[in-house]
Amino acid sequence: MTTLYPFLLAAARVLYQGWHSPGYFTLTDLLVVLGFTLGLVMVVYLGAAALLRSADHRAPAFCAFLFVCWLFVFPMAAGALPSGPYQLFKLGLGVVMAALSVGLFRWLVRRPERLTTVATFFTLTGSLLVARFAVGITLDRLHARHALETSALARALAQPIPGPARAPAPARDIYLIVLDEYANADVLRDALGFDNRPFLDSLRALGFTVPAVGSNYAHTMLSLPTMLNAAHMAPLAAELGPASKDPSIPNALLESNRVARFLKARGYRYVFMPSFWWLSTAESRTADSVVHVLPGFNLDRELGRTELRRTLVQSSLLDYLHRDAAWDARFIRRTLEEAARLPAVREPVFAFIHVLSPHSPFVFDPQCGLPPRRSQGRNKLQQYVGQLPCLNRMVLATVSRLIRDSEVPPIILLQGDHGSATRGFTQAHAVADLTPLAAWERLGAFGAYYLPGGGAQAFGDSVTVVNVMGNVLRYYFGAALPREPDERYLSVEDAPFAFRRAPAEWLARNRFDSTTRFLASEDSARR
Amino acid sequence: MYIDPTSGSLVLQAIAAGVLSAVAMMSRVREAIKSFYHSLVSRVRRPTGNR
Repeated sequence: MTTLYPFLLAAARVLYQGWHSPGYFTLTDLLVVLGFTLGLVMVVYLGAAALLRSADHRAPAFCAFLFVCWLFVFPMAAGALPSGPYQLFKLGLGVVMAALSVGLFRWLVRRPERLTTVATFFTLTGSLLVARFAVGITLDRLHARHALETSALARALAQPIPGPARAPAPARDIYLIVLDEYANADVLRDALGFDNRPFLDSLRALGFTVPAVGSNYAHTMLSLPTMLNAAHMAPLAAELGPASKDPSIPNALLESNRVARFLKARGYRYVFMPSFWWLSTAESRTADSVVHVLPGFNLDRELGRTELRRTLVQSSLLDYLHRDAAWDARFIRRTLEEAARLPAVREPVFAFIHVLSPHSPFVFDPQCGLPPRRSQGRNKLQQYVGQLPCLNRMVLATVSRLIRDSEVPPIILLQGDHGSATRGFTQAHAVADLTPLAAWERLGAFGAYYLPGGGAQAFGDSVTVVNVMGNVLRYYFGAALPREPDERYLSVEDAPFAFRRAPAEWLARNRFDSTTRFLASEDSARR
Repeated sequence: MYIDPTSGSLVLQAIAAGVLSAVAMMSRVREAIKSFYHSLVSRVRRPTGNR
């Protein structure tokens, strides 16, 4: 029994991440990560047993324990150190930990009784931690399931959108391309100092309309279900409470979204092109086709396939060996290339394509090359802006092919789910900490729409994310779907459901204010 | 990234589990001392009973 402790401690580290992030992983993925981690520990244990050639299992188990410490504790300790020249502090820590490892091993191997006491202690500790986190995860999942079953919003959105039973002829393909965190031209100009007019002019030359666009929510996990249900997610604040971070209900609403159901009922094929690692858009059980742009198995790619895996890799020694950037770049490029081939599908298509760009990690330089590794994490604004020329070129190539290769002019919706976050949005722990500039930047989403047959009139001069799909369904399909209010709700990453309304006029008026906190400024505006 | 990579509360929970384990082991030690004492006492008494 007392040889189990390295396995228990490794399992505790993985389960902790799951318990700490309810709703941000699937159980299958958690089990895969658990199996991979325990497999690594087993390899070290068997290797040590073979090297030591001892019938006593205590020494190899201690070697495996030291490996677990190196795997998870060293990066944590190294991360807490100040950054010195040539990584000297990390190097020093490595030397100290190596000396401690060798010294402890030699001392304990000669004292089997002490080794047994250490093993018993860590077996007990590991068992307690595993039990604590496993019970926590189970309770969280039961709670999330109950919340979904009793959600009034989920019940309301389960009802079909009323409208004519058939799509008008000729049926147009609909391509919804979400460019994650793509800010609108005003934000890019005033907050980031980037002139995006050449891109917008190219889109207009192709026939796109570019109204004033805004996001209703500051987070992808709220913006996407809002867009694909043509309905606000604000009622979730009352259902889940402001302390909740669990995205299970919005994710379920996104997966079974009523816009796709409406179109499927009218003969459309729902084609889903997932993101590389974002859980909410990793899979879809309701889509007729899910396009996997990088098929097959590759271990290096699989390490970055989910947010849980990325977080654990980045918190472990594997971070020194593995990089996701090349896979991210390849996935985005392939997604846009594959999207351009969708007109070849014979049936009318509703394609939902989630592109995790210009969202971080920043994986393109202006020439579409990979930025240098050392630049990651530095000067977020420059890296964000540096991606745009490349992304713009790829998007233009895709939409040009979609228009060229479609027999019937299609509907193309290029949509940012929210704006950028270079002015302190992600650092805020409460809405009260946000400056008007950070709030305005975050809610300033990009949007450009190709709307043949006079569809631009349904959008008018301005639109928010919640009404984009509604406008399409109302204008082209005659859906009896009331227009939603263009209200904007701010919340921060620490409390995504703790909403605070942010009037568009107030945001626009105070957009250059980078010092006043949100609450103080809003209160003075009310007075 | 929405998953919080910090592991501060893991350290706290590990410390709590470690303290509980140490207490459990201390009670094991106490039990071992007790059983040693009882066996010692019974060994001292046994010769008297044999007479």
